[in-house]
Amino acid sequence: MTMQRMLRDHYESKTLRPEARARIANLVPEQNDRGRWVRAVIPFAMAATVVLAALLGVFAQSPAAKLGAEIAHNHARGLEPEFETASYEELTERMHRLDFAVRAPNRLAARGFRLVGARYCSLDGRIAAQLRLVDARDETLTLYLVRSGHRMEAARRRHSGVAVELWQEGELTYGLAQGNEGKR
Amino acid sequence: MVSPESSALDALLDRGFRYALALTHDATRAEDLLHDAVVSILRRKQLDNVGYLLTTIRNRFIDLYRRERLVVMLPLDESNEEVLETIDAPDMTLDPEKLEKALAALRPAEREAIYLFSVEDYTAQEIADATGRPRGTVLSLMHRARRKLRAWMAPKNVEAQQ
Repeated sequence: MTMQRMLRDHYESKTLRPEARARIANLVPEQNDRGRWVRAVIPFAMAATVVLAALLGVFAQSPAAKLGAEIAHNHARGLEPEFETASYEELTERMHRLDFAVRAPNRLAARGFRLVGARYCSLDGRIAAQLRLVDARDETLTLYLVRSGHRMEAARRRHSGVAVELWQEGELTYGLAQGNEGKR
Repeated sequence: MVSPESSALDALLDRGFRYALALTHDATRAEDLLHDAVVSILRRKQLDNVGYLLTTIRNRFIDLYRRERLVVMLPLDESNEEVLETIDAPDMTLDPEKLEKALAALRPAEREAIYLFSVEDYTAQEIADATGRPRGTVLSLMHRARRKLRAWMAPKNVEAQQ
């Protein structure tokens, strides 16, 4: 037997005498009453927190959440391109109302999407470009470009069944929307 | 029927009692110490945290025994950094009477260190944090406690001790 085991066995065999335990436990009932009160209040407090969080979610969405929702809405409308081309340079040249150059994002370089065309749109009150892309399986995605109004971390979100990926490169914010074809 | 609250309270009180016993090596004093600590805690907060209970017991023990001058806090040799990952004594068998005497021969700080290590499963660093002693001092205390316990428990030395 190790000394450690011996000491553990020795001390664990020691317990308070019942009289001493009762004397000390009698000091505690006030705490138990308070505990019961707290436990009764917890479900209501949790419900209130959920409602408050939902309200805050509606009225105080983060910029990224608002932008994601707007992108998902635009993507679901499925509007046809005004400018049909496979060249980003050509889009920059033709979409002269934009206050930025249309650049293929580095983030998508390895994914092999093909540019089909683009149209103007509006995001966060700014003029933006809405590009139609096609992947290797011929599925359609929509890429949005807008001049950044807020700093935001890259994020993936889902709004009304549309998967939205948001990120920033240089002065531009990009949003890639995919899915929920049924609504288009 | 025992409610979950009361069994949790019982377990908490027993842990406090054992720690107090490790400090005092006297069941009556340990009960008093635990009682005082519980009263002190309930004045400020709920009794639901074992770490807080042990700290309060320790503080109360220091208050009482400093006043009574029963404990002489000797300066400890901090140079002994011997690592005690386990306290082995494979040649020993449990003899409760001998162990009681051996533990009585230890200083409170030594009993406290081996109690926290062996029963509460604290590491040397956690004991150092809980007791406000340098880790080297804790290791030294545990080393000395082990040496004394070995001396008391080893069969050849029992007669000499008695």
